[in-house]
Formats: sequence, structure tokens, C-alpha cells
Amino acid sequence: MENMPASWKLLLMLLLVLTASCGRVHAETLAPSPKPLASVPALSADMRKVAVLKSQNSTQNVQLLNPVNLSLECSLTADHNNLPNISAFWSQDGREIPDSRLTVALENQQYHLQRLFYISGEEMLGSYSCVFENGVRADFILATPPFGEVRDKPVVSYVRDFVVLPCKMEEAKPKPLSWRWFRGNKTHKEQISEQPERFQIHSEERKSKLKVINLTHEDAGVYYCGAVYAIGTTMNPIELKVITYQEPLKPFIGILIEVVLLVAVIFLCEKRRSKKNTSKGNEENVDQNNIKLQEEEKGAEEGSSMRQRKV
Amino acid sequence: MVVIKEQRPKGGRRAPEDPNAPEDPNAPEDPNAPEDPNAPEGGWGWMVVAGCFLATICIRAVTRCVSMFFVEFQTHFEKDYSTTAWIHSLIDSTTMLCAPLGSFLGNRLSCRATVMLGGLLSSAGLVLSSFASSVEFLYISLGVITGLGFALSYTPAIAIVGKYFVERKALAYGIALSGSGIGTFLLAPAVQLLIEHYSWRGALLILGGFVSNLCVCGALMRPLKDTEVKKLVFNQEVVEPSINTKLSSRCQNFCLKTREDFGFIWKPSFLVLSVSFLFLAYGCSSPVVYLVPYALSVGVDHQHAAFLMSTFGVSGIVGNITFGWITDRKRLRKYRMACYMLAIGMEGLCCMIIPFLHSLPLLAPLSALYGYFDGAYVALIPVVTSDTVGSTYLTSALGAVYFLHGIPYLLSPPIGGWLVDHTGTYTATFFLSGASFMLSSSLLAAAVFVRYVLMMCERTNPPPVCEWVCEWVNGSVTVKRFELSKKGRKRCTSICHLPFTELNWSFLLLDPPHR
Repeated sequence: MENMPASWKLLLMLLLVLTASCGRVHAETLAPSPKPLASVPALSADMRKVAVLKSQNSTQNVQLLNPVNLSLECSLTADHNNLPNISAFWSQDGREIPDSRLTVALENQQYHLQRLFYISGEEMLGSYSCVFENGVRADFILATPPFGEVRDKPVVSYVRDFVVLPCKMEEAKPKPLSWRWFRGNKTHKEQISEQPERFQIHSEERKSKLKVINLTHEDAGVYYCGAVYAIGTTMNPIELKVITYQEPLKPFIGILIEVVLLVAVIFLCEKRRSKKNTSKGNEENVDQNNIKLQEEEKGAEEGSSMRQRKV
Repeated sequence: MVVIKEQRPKGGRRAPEDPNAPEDPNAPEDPNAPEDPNAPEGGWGWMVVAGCFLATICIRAVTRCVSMFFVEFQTHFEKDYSTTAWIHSLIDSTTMLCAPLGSFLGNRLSCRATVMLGGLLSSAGLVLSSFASSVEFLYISLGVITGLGFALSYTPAIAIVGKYFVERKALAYGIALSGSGIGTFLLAPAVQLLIEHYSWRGALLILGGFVSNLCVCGALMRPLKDTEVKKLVFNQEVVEPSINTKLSSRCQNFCLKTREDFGFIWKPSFLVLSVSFLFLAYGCSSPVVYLVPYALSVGVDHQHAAFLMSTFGVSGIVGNITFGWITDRKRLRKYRMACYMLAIGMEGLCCMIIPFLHSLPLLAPLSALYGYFDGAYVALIPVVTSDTVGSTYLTSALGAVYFLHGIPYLLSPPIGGWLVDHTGTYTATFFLSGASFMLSSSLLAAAVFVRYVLMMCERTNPPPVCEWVCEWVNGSVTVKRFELSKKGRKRCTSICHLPFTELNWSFLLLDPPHR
């Protein structure tokens, strides 16, 4: 938050007066209707956001935690036309703010537009824009700190089981004051209150968990985890899907059937092969046995004749 | 002295089921000698590789994807990060620490039955956890039950690949183990989609169905035909030759069998390998976890940090397969252990270099290199184990190896986290992991050197030889000759094939033959 020193405030006021008088002069020559003056701020601005524009639009995200006096400024660099004055206005959420149209004078090759806003509550958050006559605009999106990781896949759980929906605000972002949980859709959200049988909420500084017990199919849907700040609440949607045990059971049984089939096929093939082998082998064995007996007889004879054994 | 006519066993080579044949622990294993002449080397073997690939996806990739559920668990059960992160540690450590149980059952039943049992158990665990009402329930259903199921499936699935391949073992393992990288790549977006559509309960249910595909993997793992005889171990003191013994009780049989199963543990080469695995497992868990946070801390943005992780994953897959293919080449097969040591050493070096890099253009190629060697050594672990203990013991040895991985997996993340909190930077964690890798590699190098020296010494004094003669009831005779080691081991152990009948055997001690 920047506090403008006193000398700058004086300069600004002088500038505004000058611009106003200039505008008035121009107004008499160019257009009959008088243009209103920019309201001189009675309070000092707590926060200042500046957008420097050349020929393209710019967008800025402004994170707000508490009610604040916000000064939004736009500086448009002059192009080759070098018009001495240019008109501009402020808009909120696409609609022009009444009595905000101004004529801005050219100074130091720039058209400088500034307005002070008092953001008091959640309804004041939104998109504020300064729009210049030549179509160039700067958008300031005022919002509470957003969640970093938004889970795009639904959380899956089973009927009669419980599920824990987690929510986390990272270290880099400011700490929320409290946490709230909601259920519903984008338009209508209902806050979930703690019921010991069904919902349990456990919140720490930066984390919050919603435990839904004894799930049924009706519990499926979108749950919103809200990080509460002084100025508003950031919502994080988490989708919950509830399925029955039969869903994973089907692939499981499929795999089991495949295993049983493969094992049966392998054993059958082996049995068939061994049957073939035994029928072949029986014939061979008889021949081999004859050969063996002859060899052994030879060996026994040689052994007994050539060796003296100590028994 | 007694004249001996040496009778070579049938087949012209060392008989296949002969785990005690490397009786002389100082003799170097000859990786060129095929350990199992029955290895099919292709044909159905590739189906087994496919089964192991799918099993690796179902186990390793699913374990990694479980961490995607943590945010959901945290919101639903209202717990903090460390409480939910325990689930992942529980699954991982249960999978590794119960690996010996998996290998024990794989030996007793068959690899196929164990993998299918593991598949049923882990699938049941995941389905059960979809009904969880608290985090403690998840600890048990996910951490214990699913972890146990994974442990039962993992070791036998990997072991059976080693039984089907000898010539192309490293390539087969490379393809099979690349499943974890490819699986994570494919499964991560799929799990994300499942969580979005069905929430974590439905996603766990469907994941349980997916994991039941371990039963299909198990069905593919056709057991190799063993000889239809039982194997028994006879121990005979050298001092008292020629004793006739009949084998009495089944209990003795069982004890002997178990001792036979896990007898490889006391081999010095395996002991050295296990210690090096301990250091390796300590080193490998931290850097992967801290790579992305380190990148974020030096100013790389989120998307590029994720890109680093995917580079790591993809180059891991490439490293798996290419290193497996490379170390299968005939010339390099003798130097497989050296390749393994090189991969670990390079991994340690990359790890140590990371803290000196401060920008994305430097971190990206390093993460690719790091991922490549990570995939390389992961593919070589079962190969090196199989080279050290032989393919008969592979199932049990892998169980022991993964058990040794489990302990550092539990310890390393907390220690790494403590270091990061204490020093404020990631440098200490990366240095510690890099040093761990280098230590593991140098330990193996030292062991190879010592073995080489001892072998040179032994060439001058050949050890004595003992001979077993087994006379069968049907009249055939089997003879086996062994060298006794010099270190005072006075046992001469042999295996006789026993066709369910009694056996007469005799024993001879001979002078060392002239060389």
C-alpha cells in the first residue's frame, strides 16, 4: 500500500484543476455540454495500481483482503496524433460508471487518468476498466486471493464409505480468516453446517477438510470450499462422485477370468505334450535300457578284475 | 599302492547333480564348463524368460507403484507422510527378508507351485487392503501378506531361468529383469488412471487382479525333468575307510537334504560374495531416492527432474539387456566377475560425481550413465551367484542373496535421511553410497586375487585324492574321485544315486597322483 506524500497530493490537485479548466475551455469551443469535474478525494488512498498503456489493452489482477481505498490510474502514451485532449471514462463490470466521463489533457506525452474507489465489500469486487476515446482500455480485476491448484478431476468414493475433501491455501498467499464449506451450483450455494453424523469440518490456518460420512448417491455433486477474507470469500469447487463397488469389480473379475483361462490352456498344452512324449519315449527307453545293461556288465567285469577293494 | 582303473561316469563329464564336486574350494570355478548338461538353452526356455519378465513386472513394478497411493492414504486416513511411507518399506523388506522361505519352498515343492502360491497370496493381500479401514490394517494386508506373496514368487521365478540357460544365461536374465524398469514405465500412468477413475480402493482391487497374473507366470515355469532318483549325501571320515552303512530314518534324510540345500553358504567364495552384496545393497537404495530432490535443490525445475528419473529408468532397461548380451559372449564369459566388478565400480564413481554437478546438461548424461550401470549389475547378480554356487544350488543361493539385500534396504533410507537433515546437503549421502559400491567391488577384486595366489601355491603340492565306489544292487558300479583340500578337511563327500533300494558302498584313499 502506497501513501502519497503531501507534496504529490498538492501537485495532483493542481493538475486536476488545470485539466478541468482546460477542459472547460475546450468544452466551450468543441461541445456545448459541460463536463463534470473528477471528484477530489477526501480520504487518502491506501493502495495504488497503475496501468501504462500504449496501443494495446492491458489487464491486471488485484488481490484484496480487506476494505480499502483503492486508487486506479491509467497512463496512455500519446501516439502521432498528439491531440491536446482526449476523453475517457471508467466502467465497472462492463457498465459505464455514471458521472465518470472526463477529458484528459496531454502532458509529458501522456494522458493520465486516475480515480479513487472505496471497496467496502464483496459486491464491490469485480472488473474495473478505464476506457479511452481511441478504444484503448486497461482492466483491473479486483478479487480475493485465488486458489493455486484447482482440482479438475472429480474425487471418487464409494457408497457407505466416507470421503475427505481437502482444501489448501498455499504459503505464498495470505492466510484466510476462516473457512466455510458450501454445496450447490454456481448460482445457489448452501452452506454446510457441522452435523456429527454426516459432515465434519476440520480447519487449520491454511488447510481445511470436509469429511462426508456414510455416502449415498445423493451426496454426489459440487462442493465449494470457501476461504473467508474480510472483504469476501474465494471459492474452490471440488466435484464428488459416488460409485458402488460393482464398478471396479467388473474389470477385476475380467482379469481373474483371463488368468484362469491362461493357466488352464497352459496346463492342457503341457499334458498333451507329455502324453505325446511318453508314447514316443516308451519306445526309446526300451532300446536305451538294453544299451545301458550291456555297458554296465562290461564295467563291472573290468572293475572287479582290475581293482582290489578294501572291504 | 592300489592300481586303479579310472572309470568315468556315464556321459563323459561330471555327473549333473553333483553339487559337492567343487569340493576343493580353492580351485577356480570354470565358467566355461556347462554346469547342467540338461539345460535346454532355448525352446521353452524363452517362455520361462517371458514368465519371469511378467513376474518381475508384477512384483518390482507394483511395489514401486504402491508409493503413488500415499497421497490418497494421507488424505483419507489423515496421517502424515512418514506413517504412510512405512508401507513401502514394509513391502520391500518383507519381499527381501522372506526370500529364503521362497527358495526353501521352491526346492521342496517346485518353482511352479511356489510362484503360483505366491501369486495367490499377494493377490489376496491387495484385495484385502482395498477394504482397509485404517493404516495399521494396510501395514498387515499390504506390508506383510502381499510382501510375503511377492517373496514366495520372486526367488523361484528368477532361479528357474538359470536352470534353463547356461550359454545365454546373462542375456536371459537381462531380458527377464528388465521387467522392473519397463513395468514401472507402463504401470505408473495406468495406476494413476485407475486411481482417478475408481479411487484408491478400486485401484487396489484391480491391481490385485493384475498381480494374480503371477499364477500364469508360475504355470509357464515347467520344471526340468530331474532324474527319478533321490539324492543323498554321504559323509565319510578319511581316517576310517570302508564302512557299510544303511540309511535309517526319514528324519535323517530331511536333515541331510536341508544341509545339502544350504551347504553352499560356507563356501568362502560365497561368503565373500555375500559381504559384497551387503555393501552393494546399502549403496543402491539411497541415490535413486535422493536424485530428484538433489536436482530440485540445485535449481532444476520439476519437469526436468522428472525427465532425469525417466532417463534413469530407460537407460536401466538398456543396461539390463545389453550388458547381459555382452557378458554372454564367449570371450567375456571368463571375465564375467570382472565385468560385474566394473559395473559396480562405475556405479560408485557416478554416485560420487553427482554432488559436483549443478546443472541439468551435466546431470542428464550422468543419470543416463548411472541408470545404465544400475541395470547392468542388477542383471548380473543372479548370473554371478549362479557362477559361484552352480545351478543346482541356485534357488537357495538366490534366497540368501535377496535376504542379504533386505537388511540394508531397511537401514539405508533412514540413515540417508538423517545425513541429509544433519548436514543440510545431499553430498554426504551420495558419497557414502558411492563408497559402499566401491568397497563392494574392491572386496570381490581382493578375493579373486587371493584365490589366484592360493591356486598358484597349490600347483606345487597336489592334494590327496579319495575315491568312492558305489555298488548297486543291480550290479552296476559308479566311481567318483575327489581331491581333498589341504586345509585339514578330512571329509570326502559324494552323491550316490539311490533307486529306493539299499546300497553297498566302499571307500578308498589313494596317494596323490603324479602330475
